[in-house]
Amino acid sequence: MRMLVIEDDKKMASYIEKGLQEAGHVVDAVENGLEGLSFATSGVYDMLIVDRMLPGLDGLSLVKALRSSRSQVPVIFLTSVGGVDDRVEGLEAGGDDYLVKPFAFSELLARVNALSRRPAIQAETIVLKVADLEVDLVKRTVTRAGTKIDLQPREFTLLEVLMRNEGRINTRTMLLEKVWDFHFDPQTSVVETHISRLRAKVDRPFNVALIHTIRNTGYSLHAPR
Amino acid sequence: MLPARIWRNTPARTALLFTALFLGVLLIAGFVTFNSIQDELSDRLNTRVMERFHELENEFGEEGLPGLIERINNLDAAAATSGSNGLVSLTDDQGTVLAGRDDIISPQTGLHKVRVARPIDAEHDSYTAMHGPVGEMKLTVGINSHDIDEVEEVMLENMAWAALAIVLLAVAGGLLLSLRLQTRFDGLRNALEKVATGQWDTRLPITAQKDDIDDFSGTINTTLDRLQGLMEAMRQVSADIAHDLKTPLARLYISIEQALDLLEKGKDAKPDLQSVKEEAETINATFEALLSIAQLEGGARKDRFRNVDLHDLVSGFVDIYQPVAEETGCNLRLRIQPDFSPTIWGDKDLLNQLLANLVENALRHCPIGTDVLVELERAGHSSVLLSVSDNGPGVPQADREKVLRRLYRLERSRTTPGSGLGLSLVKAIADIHNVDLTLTDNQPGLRVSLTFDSIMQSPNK
Repeated sequence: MRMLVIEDDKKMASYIEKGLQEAGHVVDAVENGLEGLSFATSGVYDMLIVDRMLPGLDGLSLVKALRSSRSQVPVIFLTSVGGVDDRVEGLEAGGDDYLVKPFAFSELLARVNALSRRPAIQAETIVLKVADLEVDLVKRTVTRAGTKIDLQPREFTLLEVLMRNEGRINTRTMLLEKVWDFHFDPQTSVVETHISRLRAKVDRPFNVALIHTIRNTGYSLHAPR
Repeated sequence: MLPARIWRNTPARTALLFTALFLGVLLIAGFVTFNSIQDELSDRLNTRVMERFHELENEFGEEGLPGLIERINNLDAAAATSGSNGLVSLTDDQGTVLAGRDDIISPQTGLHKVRVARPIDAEHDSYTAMHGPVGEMKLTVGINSHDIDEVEEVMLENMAWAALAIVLLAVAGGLLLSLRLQTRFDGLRNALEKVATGQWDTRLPITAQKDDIDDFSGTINTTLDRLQGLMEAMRQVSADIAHDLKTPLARLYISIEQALDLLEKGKDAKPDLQSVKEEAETINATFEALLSIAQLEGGARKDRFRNVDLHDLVSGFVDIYQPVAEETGCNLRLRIQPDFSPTIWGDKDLLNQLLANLVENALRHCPIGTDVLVELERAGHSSVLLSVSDNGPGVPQADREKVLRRLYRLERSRTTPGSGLGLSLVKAIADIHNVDLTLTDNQPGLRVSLTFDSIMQSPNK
């Protein structure tokens, strides 16, 4: 993917640039908001990573301007302010995701991947299928290798999120946001506990594990490779 | 009060302006009244003069010249003795006086003002007189116009006095009013000057009058309360940062030193770098929490507030945390009436965080086997009581107020994880929801009760 990083902190910018290049992306980086906007409107980028505080033109205004020129390019905001209001403000301005500094690079990468492979049209799938695991979203039933599995509503949502992002990494924070609508960092192992419950039902009775732990990062559901 | 300041004094200026306005109106009204009265009086005088003239004319027609002369002489004699204001004179066509006054100065035919050469006194020398022919002769009949002049004079004099009285009253009243207002304004200014120099607890004086100035002062006082709160919040945050971020920073510094040392010796520094990362995460978490609290205490915007169904929120929350509690060896239960679904006006995210902080606190500080109970019940007519209680070690009475403070922790060593900000964040969230937060003894354990003021709908809807 070709990506544009608009960030005025040189150290942060080169950290992101290097990391994304290692992940196989082509990256341009600019430090100024106005310059960033003119780069962004060129239309050659597949994704933008925009800091909220920028010289020249702030990140919010930049994305608003971009959206008003009908650009649909995915945007991830980076910010050092993490209040609820700030997050909502960012999303309302047209950002697709929001990441508070400091962050682990794996977190950014997971979010980049989640956004990049988001289907253009959110087609309503009825049945999600990975290996021998099937989730019927309408009947809200789960079967694996023909065996019916009973799940609590919240466990079902967790499985659905993992299935929809098959093969991609879901970080702890992403799961907290998507499954439980928690926008703060719980001090207890909420995610771990629920994943282990889900595993007990979906993986343990069968020979092959589908839910994989990605160390220090999160979880991924995929068929054995 | 200094004279120069009078011109900058609004009440004094207003009083002077009104005085000028009054005077203007008085002059115009006086002029109009004076004129019409004057016209009326001279009209009447003219009529009387003409009546007398015609009377004598008739006398001449009926009685002839001797009758007229006799009548004139009688009238003249009466005028001379009684000091009457009449004037009468008859002359032949040569100008020789036949009867009556002989000192009229060059009368002209018609109704005119005439003067006499020998007046009764200096003031009575002017007459309104009719001079006209009677037969071959000329008759002059007049009435002294001194009375009219006198009335006019009295009127003018009265008006002048009234004007003077108004000016004096207005100026004195204006000055008095401005002095009184000046005193009050001085009081307000002194108070605000004190605030400006940093005495944030100064408030504007409110008098017993409860007038518009008091209303205004009240509004300013509310603003000052808010400002003072903000100032204190800011001061508190900087004190907290200095106090509680320096320590982990020092630990971070030590870990980095140790890692560098190990690397120099060619040894594995990974455990130390791992602890560097953890320290940095702790510092970040503390910082985030402090900022959140400061944002909330500084009056975070309430425009994200929506109607929240507390039943849904609480039961959803307990669903999420029940497995977590089991994992830590505790027991989380929910007690709620199935049909009790109170709606409150609030922020779902913040309320979730509040519950998380309370329950996580209980799970973290309690021994294995502790029961944690979340309850939602009706409390009185229009309030809802949400409580989180445990049967763990509890919090000593003396410390219950203190644990709500920032960075306060019961164990001084600060070895167990936690920033000491959990409960103060709970307090801040409770405060912006106007919720009453109390800590009580659960015998044994701690019970945190939140009384949501009322089951209210959005204030705007």
